[in-house]
Order: sequence, then C-alpha cells, then structure tokens
Amino acid sequence: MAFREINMDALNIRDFRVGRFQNGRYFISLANTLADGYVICFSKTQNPITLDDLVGCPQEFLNYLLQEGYAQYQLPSGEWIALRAVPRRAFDAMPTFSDFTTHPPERIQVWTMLVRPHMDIYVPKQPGAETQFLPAFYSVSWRDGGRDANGGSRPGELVVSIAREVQYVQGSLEYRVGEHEPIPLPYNALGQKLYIQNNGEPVIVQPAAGFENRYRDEAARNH
Amino acid sequence: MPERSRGEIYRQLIDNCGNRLRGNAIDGNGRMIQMPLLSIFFGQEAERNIPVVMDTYNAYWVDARHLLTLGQWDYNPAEVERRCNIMSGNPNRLFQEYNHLLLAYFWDIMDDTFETAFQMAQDTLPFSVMTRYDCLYFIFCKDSTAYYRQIKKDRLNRVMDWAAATNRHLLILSDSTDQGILNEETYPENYRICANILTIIDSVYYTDAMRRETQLGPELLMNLQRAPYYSASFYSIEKNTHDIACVTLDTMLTEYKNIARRSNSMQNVRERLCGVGKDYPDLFDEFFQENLLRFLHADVSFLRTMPWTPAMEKLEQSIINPRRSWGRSLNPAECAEDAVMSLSGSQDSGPGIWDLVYDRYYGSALREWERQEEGLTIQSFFEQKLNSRLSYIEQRDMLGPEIERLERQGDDLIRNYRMADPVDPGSMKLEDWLDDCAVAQMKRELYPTLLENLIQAMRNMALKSKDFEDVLQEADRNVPGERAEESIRTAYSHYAKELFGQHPEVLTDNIRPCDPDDLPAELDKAFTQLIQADAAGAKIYTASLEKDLAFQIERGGVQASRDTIYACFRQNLEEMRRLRTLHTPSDTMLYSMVNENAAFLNDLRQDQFGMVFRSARADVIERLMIYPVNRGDIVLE
Repeated sequence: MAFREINMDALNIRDFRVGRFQNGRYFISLANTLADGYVICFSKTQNPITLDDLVGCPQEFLNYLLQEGYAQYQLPSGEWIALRAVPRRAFDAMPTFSDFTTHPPERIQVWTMLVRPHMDIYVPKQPGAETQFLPAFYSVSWRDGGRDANGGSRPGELVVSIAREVQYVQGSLEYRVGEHEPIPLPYNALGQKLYIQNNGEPVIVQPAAGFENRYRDEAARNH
Repeated sequence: MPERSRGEIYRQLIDNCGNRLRGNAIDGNGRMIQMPLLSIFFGQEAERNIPVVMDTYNAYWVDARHLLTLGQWDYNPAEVERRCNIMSGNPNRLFQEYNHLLLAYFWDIMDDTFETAFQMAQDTLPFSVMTRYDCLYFIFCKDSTAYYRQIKKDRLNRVMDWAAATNRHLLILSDSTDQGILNEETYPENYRICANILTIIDSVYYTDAMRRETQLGPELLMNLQRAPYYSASFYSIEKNTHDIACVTLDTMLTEYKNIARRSNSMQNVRERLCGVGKDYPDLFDEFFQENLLRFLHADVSFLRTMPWTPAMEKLEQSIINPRRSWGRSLNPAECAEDAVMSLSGSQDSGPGIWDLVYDRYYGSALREWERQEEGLTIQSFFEQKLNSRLSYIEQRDMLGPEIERLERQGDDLIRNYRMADPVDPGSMKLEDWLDDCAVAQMKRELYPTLLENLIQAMRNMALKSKDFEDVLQEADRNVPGERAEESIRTAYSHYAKELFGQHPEVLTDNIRPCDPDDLPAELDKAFTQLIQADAAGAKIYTASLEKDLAFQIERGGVQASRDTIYACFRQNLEEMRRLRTLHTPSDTMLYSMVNENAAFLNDLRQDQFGMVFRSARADVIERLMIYPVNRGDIVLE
C-alpha cells in the first residue's frame, strides 16, 4: 500500500464541494466512478499537500489508517495533517458525506483509493479540483459612540467574534480606523467590547496580510 | 599562507588598482563597430591572450562586449556561421554593415596542435554567396631558441605555401625583434598589435560635416589584401598606472600609520568612542538613530486608535488638563506607562493589543534592519565605530582595560540610563507619549544585546590590533613604492598625502586591524574611495597621459617628462619590427592611435605620426607600422 500519482483521468475527483448545513455542520459531495474509497486530508499548511509531502509515509502508518479510519501524520516540515479513510459506500448511501469534524481555517483534500491490484491512494500531481480551503468566519459588531454634549467624539463599541473552536493565530485579524495603520487583535480581545476613538472615521475589521484566505466576514457569507 | 603567495596577492592588488586608473582615463566617446567581427584563436597561447584582444576591443569600442570569440576546440565551419549569425542577429543595431563579416584568425603556429589547426584553417566556410566576408590571418611564431626556429621554419613555410596558393593574406609576428627577444610580459603585445589593426579596420568613422574623417578602415583592409605576407612594428607610451597605483598604496600605508601615531591617547576610550561627557548608552543611541529609526513610522497617530481604556482617558486628561489629583499633578509619562499596561497582556492571559502593536510596528525594526543590511551586523557596526574613532595603536593598548570595565559595570549603565527623554513634552500628543513608551521598550530590550556586541567587537579589535603592526610591515614590503619612477613618486606621494589630509575617513573607514590575508581587500576599498574623492575634485587620477605628464612636471618631476610624448614620435618604427627580415621595410603604412582631444599632433610633422586613429582612450599613445614582406626576406634560420 502506498501513495501514488494519478495515472488515469478516471481516478480524479470531480464535482468536489464542501458545503455547510443550516445547523453549521460541514458536508462533502463529490463524483468518481472508479474509487473503492477515499482519503480525506485536513491541513493548515501554507500550501496544499502534494505527493512529495507524503513520499516518506511508512507502511505501518498506512495500515493503521486503514484499520482505524483516522490518523495524524507529521510532515517533514514538522507540521501535522489529519487523514480520514472512508469506504465508497459512505458516499453511496447519501449524496453527501458529513461524518467528519473540521476546524477552520483548514484545507480539505480528497484522494481516491483503489483496492486492486494493491491498496493504493492516488494523489494528483498538481492539487486542483479535489482541494478546498475552508475559511474561519468572524463576526463584527460596531456601534458608533456619537457626540458628547460638547460636540466631541465619543468612543464607539467594537466586538469581533469567532467560533470557539477556531485555532486563532495572534494578530491575524485586525481593525482599522479610517486610513490609520491597522491595530492587530489578540485572541483575548475577541468577543470583548473594545472602545475605539474613531472621530467619525469608518472602522473596519479585516484579516491581516498573509491571512486573507483564512478568514471571512460572517456578514459577507450571509449575503 | 606563505609570504610568497601573499606577495602575489599584493602584486594583483597593484595591478587591479592600476587597471582601474587606466579604465578611468577616458576623454571622449568610444567608437561604433562597422561590421560583425569573429575572433578565432588557434593554439593554447593564443587562447590565453583572448583577454588582451578583448581588452583592446573594449578600450576602443563602445559595444565590444557583443563581439564573439571562438577557440580551437569549438571550431568547425558550422560553429563559425552560428556565431556570426548571433552577432548579425543582434537587434540593437550595433553594426553599420550586417552583410559583411570579418573573420580574424589568431594562429599560434608553434602550438602542438598545429596539424589540426592547419586542417581547420583549410575548411571551407558555409556562408551564402550573398554574404561578403574577409579573413585576416595573424600568425604568431617564435624563433628565440634553435628548437623554435626549426619548428617555425617548417610550419611557416607550409602556411606561406598554402596562403600563396589560395590567395590568403598573412600578417606574421615573432618574439624576436630588432630590439631583442620579447619576454613573457611583453609577448602579449603582439596580440595587442593585431587587435589594434582590427580596431582600425572595423571602426565607424565620422562622416558628418562637423567632423569628417578619413575612412581608415576600408583602406587598411584593402591594403592588407594586396600582398600575401605582412608584418608590423609597434611602439607605445602609456600612463604608468602601475607605478601610480603602487606609490599611492605605499603612501596610503604610511599615512595610515602616521595618523595612528599622531592620535591623542590622553582621552579615555569611553570619551573617544561616545563623545565628551557621554557614555555607552549614547553610543547605543547612535546605533538606534543611524539604523533603526528609519524603520519606525513617522506618523504614529494610529496609536490613538487603540482601545480607549480608562488609563488612556487619564493620559488624555494629563495632556489636556494636568490637574492635581491626590496631591500631585498627573504626569503624562507615567500615565502613558499606565495606558500601555492597560492594553498589555500577561503570561497567563496571552499577549494584549499593545504587545501585538509593539511587535508589528516597533519590534520588527531590528529584524527589518538585519534583513536589509545583508552582511552588516551589530558587531560589525561597532567595529566600524571603534576603528573610525580609535587608531590601531589605541585599540591595541587601550581596549583591554575598557573591556574589563564594561563587563563589570555595563549592566548598571544600561539599567540607570533614561531610555525615553522627550525633547519638547509640552507639544506632545497622546500618541507621541505612547510612541515614547514603545521606543523606550525597544531600547530596554535592545541595549543589553548592543552591550554584548560592543564588548565582542572590542575583543575582536583588540585581538587583531595586537599583531597589526607586523601586518602593515609585511604590506609595506609588498608595495614597493620606492621602486616607482622618480617623477611619479615625487608627484603622487605628495598628492595622495594631500588627499588623505582632506579625506582621512578614506583611511579610517576602510582600513582596520585585520588578518594579513584581509588587508589587501581593505586597501583596495580605500583606493577606490580615494579615486572617487579625487574625481570629485582635481581629477588627477583619471587624467589623460598628457595631463598626467604635465602634472608630474608641475609637481617637480624631472624635465624629461615633457619630452616623453615627442620622443615617442621621434622613435624610428623601422627599429621596432616584430619579425626579423633581411631588408628594411618599404610601402609602409604608418598609424598613430591617440586620444581625440590630444593637442600635441599640431606640433609634429605628418611623416612622424602618419594616419591618425582618434579614440576616447586617454591613457596611451600607440604607433603602428604595417608593411608587406617578401618571403625571401624573412629570416627563417
């Protein structure tokens, strides 16, 4: 059993989609006629996982993955990824598969598994249609402070929240008043009321540079 | 490293510095190239002289770097065509004529591979009938030993037979001249002669009304195709850049030592380094000002947009209305500290907003400096300061005790130093006070590291200065300024001394106590900077040969210098033949290659200088005589 490069088109995952039910649970749907099963890879690395990252994966690890259906693997770079092995029937029974847990911001990749002639997992040369990055959602509440009796500006009230399970990187969200340099937010400021002197200038919350794809405003999703 | 090889390094240093002076002596514009020229080299010695040929092309032509060469091992007719096509295909309109090619064979017939080369020379070239090409064969031979003469006789006869039978034209040069045998140093001149001939043939000449020139190239090319065999005579005078470089480097070493001996060792090291009445944290402030300040935001108004805590409100009040509270007035500096505390995190709760703001806008400055200043480290910064403020003798004698003192008292010095010291507190806004806190925090974090690096720099310099006197003496031995021409020695040692007097930083910034192997590179840097200082003023180092000779006379050089240029033109070129023949040459073509702004030709007769090839080079006067030779006249035995 080994990771191999996809050598025929039928092994490619098609129509891959990660969606979210009303209750907040994520689901996967995909199409493939050949696979006997799938391996779902969850990663938080900068770039998608490629065959090169998996070359040194030991046989024992793969046996364990098949047997238990779930295993964590440390890449040569030191980062960890999680792998989930799922038989084909799990997808055939329902149009969608939702028996998994993800912790956005996180990337999901799905690879095909064949039982014959050997038990092998097929990874495309270039990550593409079988890859999707799930951003974490944050929500923003802003209440302007208005003016005091002397006509001076009063601080407004800002609350930035993310789901509790999100693994937040310190400073990866920031707020910005007008054209001033942004102020990075630590984890312990999230969910807290922050009073901001904005002097009538707009206050926006945004992902910091380098984190643009990892966070998305809840309000934008609802639209 | 043994002394001998270091001697070679110093010789290389003097050569490099001299070459730089030669390259800088430009007065005018380089010439354009008429047609693509492929230089082909047969034989190992010929290939070794490719740089001589290319240097000559580069000295006279602006676009010579686009000309290609071809060695014997890569030679075949298809490759000749390919390289010519590359040159002809250059889109930059480098050449005046694209359908005319010039192939120059530099053929050392004494080489062991003569038979192969002979076959190659006879190969038919595959050019289209539409392409016009001219081949010139420069034949290099030697007859300084019986063995050479035997080889030469046989091979030259065969090549001459072939040339006569196939209507080829040879220009033959030998190592035996009427003035004696050319040695290893002077033999490459033969390659330079040929490159000069090609330069005359393949240059574009002015045809406009303002500056109409005789078209020397086509005439010379035609003349070289009238007879089967030619040879040449050569004489040149050059600006003696080697001796000028040598004297300047020698003066550099002397002045460096003189500055060290004159420097005042009465002050203590601390005051020499930090300034009178100042201490090491002031030196660290210098580091901060010079290196890190530029990475900090000039506009710090964003600090006002941090969350508005009660402590921020109190800071604002302390600035707007510093009223008495509980018996004392509000101090903005203290209030700013409280405001920072109110936004800081803790070990338990993780970082606060202030911690992240500080890291992004202040803490990153040192990382950014290290990223941008590749190679420059904190330690090397202090080594530079030490070197520019203490002579190597002071570094040797005084740094040891100071290191001990700093190791004992350095931490207290930093602890007691007031990191934030507002210049005009009355005009400071809320964000300025917060900025002050951030800068003070930076310094608190940084200065212990600076202290460590300063001590390490002191240790390093103390160690290297211990034996530096010996290193300088060795350099003195290897830079023999006393062997230079007397008039150059007199003129340039004084001039260099004057320049070092005006620009002592050329010495102190570039030369520092170091290992023996590193000193040549430091001298090289100092030399470059000295030339730059000169170029901004009197421009003596970059002067033309003519002006250089005038400068030497002005500075007390021997009177003979005045006649040097005229003596060059009085030299009978018939005595400078590069091939031994039985009779003196006839039908000679005489050329002078001089700077386009040279005025001295007005004082000479035409028969002394012949045809004039004017160039931008100002460091040299070259005279060439080209003439046909009868085969029977060539001395072969």
